[in-house]
Amino acid sequence: MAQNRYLCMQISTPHTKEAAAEDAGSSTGAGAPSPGSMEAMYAAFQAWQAQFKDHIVDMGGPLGDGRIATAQGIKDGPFIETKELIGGYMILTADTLDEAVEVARACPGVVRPGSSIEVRVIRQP
Amino acid sequence: MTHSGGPPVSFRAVSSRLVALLACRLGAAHLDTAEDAVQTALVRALELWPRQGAPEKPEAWLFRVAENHAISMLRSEARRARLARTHVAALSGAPAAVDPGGTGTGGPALRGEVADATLRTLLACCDPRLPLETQLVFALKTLCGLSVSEVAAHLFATQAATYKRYARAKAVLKARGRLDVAPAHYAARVPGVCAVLYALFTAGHLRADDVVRPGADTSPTEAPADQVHTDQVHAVRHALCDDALRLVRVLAGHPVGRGPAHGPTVHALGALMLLHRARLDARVDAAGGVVRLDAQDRARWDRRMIHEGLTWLQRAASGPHYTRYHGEAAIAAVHCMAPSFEATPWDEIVAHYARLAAHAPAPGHSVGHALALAERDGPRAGLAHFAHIAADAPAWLTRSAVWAAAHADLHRRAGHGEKARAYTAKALARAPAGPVRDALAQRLNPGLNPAP
Repeated sequence: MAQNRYLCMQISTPHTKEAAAEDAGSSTGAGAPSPGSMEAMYAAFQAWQAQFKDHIVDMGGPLGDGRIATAQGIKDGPFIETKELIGGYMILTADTLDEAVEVARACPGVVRPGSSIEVRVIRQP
Repeated sequence: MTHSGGPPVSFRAVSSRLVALLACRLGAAHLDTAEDAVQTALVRALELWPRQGAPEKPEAWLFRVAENHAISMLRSEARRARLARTHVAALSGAPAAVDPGGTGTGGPALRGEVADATLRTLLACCDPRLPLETQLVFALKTLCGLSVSEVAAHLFATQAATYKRYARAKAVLKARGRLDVAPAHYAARVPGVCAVLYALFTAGHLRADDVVRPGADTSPTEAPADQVHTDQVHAVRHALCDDALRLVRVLAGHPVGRGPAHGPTVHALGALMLLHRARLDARVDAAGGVVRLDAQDRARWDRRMIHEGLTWLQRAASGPHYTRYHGEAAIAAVHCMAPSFEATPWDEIVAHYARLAAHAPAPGHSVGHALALAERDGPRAGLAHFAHIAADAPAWLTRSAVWAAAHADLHRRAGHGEKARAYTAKALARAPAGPVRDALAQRLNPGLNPAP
């Protein structure tokens, strides 16, 4: 069992055209993935899961709307003005940060124009 | 949870069914909503199922998510609020009437209507006011689940032009307001539906003859998925053929598809599909490569399906009609009945091509015609035919891989080494990478081992 755990956050940049279209749920434009492509992505994702199953602690998932609790009170979030939006997360285990980054990067669909993944070690005592 | 091979139900097939179902229920004015809703459901499934496991009834799950999304989209359209309330009442009133995982009948069918939801919607979408190519684009994308780039590639058009046609069709159909078409209007639409089903079938069947698409660009979001896509391509491609075949059977089962006006055409189309589908499994080898006709193991051809195809062809022969489906089915029949490649009666095939050229010409026939002439009379006869028609052949054909490959083959057999090499290079440059190019390389360079 590997030493460290890493939190991976998928970050999308909404000001790019591709990310904005996906966020808006627009599905009938020329750029939207076809059912055939999505089926292929599904299979690719499963292949990734199988290949790296020893590294996967928590598959996590896509994140929805939420709230932000601050010292001044509770407000709706995430902020609309943020340039980057955390779309999803997962938790991996690996021996080194480099290894974790490689596993995360290999996950289909995560690293592409408009979407990147931030990998942070979860510190232990 | 981590079994491989893709989702538990084909996204493309279920997308077609669900869009048709929702479109029937929501009406033409909400075709956008139907498509958006189904797409949303699929995206949701892609996000959740691989992580949490797929639901026990995946299609019912997708339908529920799509329907809920459609309802909420309709609700939020302020100026359609009253219309939305009417639809919501209709939708929530009869959930049990629809079995989305079943035969896809799509709600109560009125007397005389085609029961199958997909075919019914297909008939509705093949609006004679639209040019045939536009009908094709719309139906292939919306109801057959092909992407814009796949449709563009298949019709040898650019993605931009294809998307324009799609948008135009959508606008015209929305303006009509009603999606359902009365059975009395089916007859005028059958030719369009046949063209769509033919395009759907050939999209599934055309592997060895894949041609390069002029002007098509792969968007970055599609490119990585395509690489994995080629591995599953045969399952998907065969599914397209099976879908087309299923729909032509439904059409032939309905009075409009059986009657004297359109029966012969529909049966010719069905015969064509059956006679090709019967041989499709023998056309693919264990490694996923394409096996040419002269190398196929004919014992693997489906005799029962060939017999059915020949029966359909007989029914197609009644009446004065002669369409390209007739000619192409007749050629397929000749091949199916020949015990071996060497024993193929090439003069019959040449005669059929000549008849096609006279009565139902299409540029795509010219390559087969030239190759058939070469089999009967030698490679120079084939080359002479090419020379004869080259001036009038469209650019998409003369710039295709299959055109170059046919020329390379004939020049090689005629002993024109220099020309053969030149055309071989062209063919390999134009062919899409993977099994298609490998098969071409093997064929055009016999004795040369292709790189693994």
